[in-house]
Amino acid sequence: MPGEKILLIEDNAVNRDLIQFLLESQGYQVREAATAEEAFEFLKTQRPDLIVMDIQLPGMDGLEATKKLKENPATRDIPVVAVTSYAMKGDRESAAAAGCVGYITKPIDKTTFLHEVALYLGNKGGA
Amino acid sequence: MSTMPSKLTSKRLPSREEPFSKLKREVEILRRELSEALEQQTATSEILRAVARSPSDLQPVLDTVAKNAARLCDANDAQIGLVEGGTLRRLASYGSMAVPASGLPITRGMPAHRAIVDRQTIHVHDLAAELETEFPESKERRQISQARTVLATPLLREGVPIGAIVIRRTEVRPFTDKQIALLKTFADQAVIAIENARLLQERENRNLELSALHDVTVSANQSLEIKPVLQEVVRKITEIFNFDVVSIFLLDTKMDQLSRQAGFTRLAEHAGPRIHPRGQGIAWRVAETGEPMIFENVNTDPRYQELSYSKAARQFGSGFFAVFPIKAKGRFLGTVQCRGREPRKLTPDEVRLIKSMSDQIGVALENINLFDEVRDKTAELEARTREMEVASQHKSRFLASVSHELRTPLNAIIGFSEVLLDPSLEVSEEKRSRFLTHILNSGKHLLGLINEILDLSKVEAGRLELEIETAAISDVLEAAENTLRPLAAKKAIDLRVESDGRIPRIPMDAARIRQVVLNLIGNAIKFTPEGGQVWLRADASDEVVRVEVGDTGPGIPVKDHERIFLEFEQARIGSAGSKPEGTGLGLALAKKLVEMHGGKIWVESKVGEGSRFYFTLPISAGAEVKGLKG
Repeated sequence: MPGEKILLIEDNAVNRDLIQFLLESQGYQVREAATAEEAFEFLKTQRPDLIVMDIQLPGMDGLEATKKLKENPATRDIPVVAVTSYAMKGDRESAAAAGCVGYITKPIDKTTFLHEVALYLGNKGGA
Repeated sequence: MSTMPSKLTSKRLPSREEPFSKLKREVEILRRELSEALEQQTATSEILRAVARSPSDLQPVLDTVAKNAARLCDANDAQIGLVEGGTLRRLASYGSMAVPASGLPITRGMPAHRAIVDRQTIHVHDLAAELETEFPESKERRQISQARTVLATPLLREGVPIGAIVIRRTEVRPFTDKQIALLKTFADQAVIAIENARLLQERENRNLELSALHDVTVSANQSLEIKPVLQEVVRKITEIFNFDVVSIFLLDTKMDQLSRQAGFTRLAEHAGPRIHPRGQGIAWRVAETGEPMIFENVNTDPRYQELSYSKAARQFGSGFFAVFPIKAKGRFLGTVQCRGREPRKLTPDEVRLIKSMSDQIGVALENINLFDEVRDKTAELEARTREMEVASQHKSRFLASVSHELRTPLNAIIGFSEVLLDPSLEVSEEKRSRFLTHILNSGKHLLGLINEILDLSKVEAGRLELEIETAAISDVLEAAENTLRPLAAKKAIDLRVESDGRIPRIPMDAARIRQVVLNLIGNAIKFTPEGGQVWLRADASDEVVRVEVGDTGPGIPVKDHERIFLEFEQARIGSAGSKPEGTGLGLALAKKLVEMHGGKIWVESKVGEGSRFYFTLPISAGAEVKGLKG
């Protein structure tokens, strides 16, 4: 499935660098955004196949951004995989409630992360 | 805290019930005596139906007795008198032989008097014949009454004469044995009637007193405001015992005196003392002995003249005065003071009742104290719980933040290490170098974070000890500047130190203050765009040395000025939102360190106008420095 477009929303430059590298190593096309606002700007003109969303973002956070994506018919169907360094009880539930299909905690396990991404891209294709 | 309710219960119940139940028992006994007496009466004759109809009013009963005695014994008249003040006072009479009361002292010189003195029935066949020899005192009265045959029987209560019943005829016709026996029966019935009336009156008074006491008990339990309870008590005591002034003084341990807390007076002019300083006067004697002091007549009682300390009190104390202690569990709490304008006596019953009411006040005070204590403890507990909730929330947030802050650099370290170790991934030399730099920086960041978390925890646990020595702030600033000059140079930032040479050396932990300064300069360099300025200034007032760290960075919104000193609360600067690299603990730690020195830290800034961080250190730190070792 190379060539599928993934929007990566992550404010930490180092982590962005890592995730981008991991995704590109699998042949995905990666577009980066450091904030939710930047991402929405991008989504006005582009439609990615999947979004990797950091939950802790400055300004509008990842949960809020996901809710907003799910409310908009134009972006509703794009699967969102949450990546978060929150690992407290209830975090996974609130991510699911916001509409994230996947949930990955930092430190990221490379294999698990890439598996999830592939899974939701695949599901999306079958839907 | 779990012991509180049981402590309350065991303290309250017995002491409150005791005086009350004792009085209840007494009333029960009186009631039983009364009903037995009533049974006797109703069984004997119709006279006593009158008693049953109006048991507490003596007059109709005695009138009925007199009437029946005269009629049944076939006499012209009948009279009933009671001993009062050494003479016989007529209470009831029946018949036509109107005679004024003698008013004479009781001797054997009159048939009725002789019956009382001899405690037996006197039968005079012809008073006229015996007037000279036996009954000279009847002379005057006989001239009016024309009495001839006289029968007099004493009214004996438990063998003690309390009066006499006399029946007379205007002709000489001695009474028969049956008539004599009948008169004795009437005498007995009169005694019972009198006794009944007395008991009933007593019971009614006691009921009144009991209900008063009950009122006090109820208000003591219902109203835990102290003043209304005490006011109620003084009003009741004044009412029941007919005093002129009743006051309650309570021990004020703070002022070491007795202070008047409630007063009720019927005298317009009375003010009386408001306080009794420790050791002075009758109240304090009562405090020492724990026993009431009663002065039936203050003018003639030498104890009063000796003890009464204030001229005003002596002047007012023109009649009766009594002081009763208020105690709870043997502890003296205050006094109940009763005054009367006229000298008077208190019966043992009255004394007992005032004592009992004073006890009741003690219980009420104890209840109020307990209530206050419980209320205070509860409030304290609630406050503590809230504090703990806040602390717990803070701790949870802190842990969540720590978790987040630790995972972020770990993510980079683990992730990039994995990438670099994975032979299946192709990594260019340029990327390889960048990834290794990420790992190194993340490791350093992690180390700094861990150190700051440890420092903060030590401060919060009160275990960070300052090593205070006298040092020059200018040395600290220069050392910090030297450390960070390379970092500033990287961004072409102009870093300057301006220090007034006259700033005194002050006591401080120089290493910790350098840590604060480094943090502030580090932040300034971090946020200031390339080519900007960062400066360090120090000046001194009489009390403090002040350090300023300023920059030409983006500035901080006013709403964030306090928040940025909290843990993990970094200001989000600008719309680009790229989060500055930082632990989010630096300013929180700087604030704690400055405060431990007895100083303050704050920021002055507006968006777009740069920021100026200030902190002060006291010049004479000495006592102000907190957390000092030794």
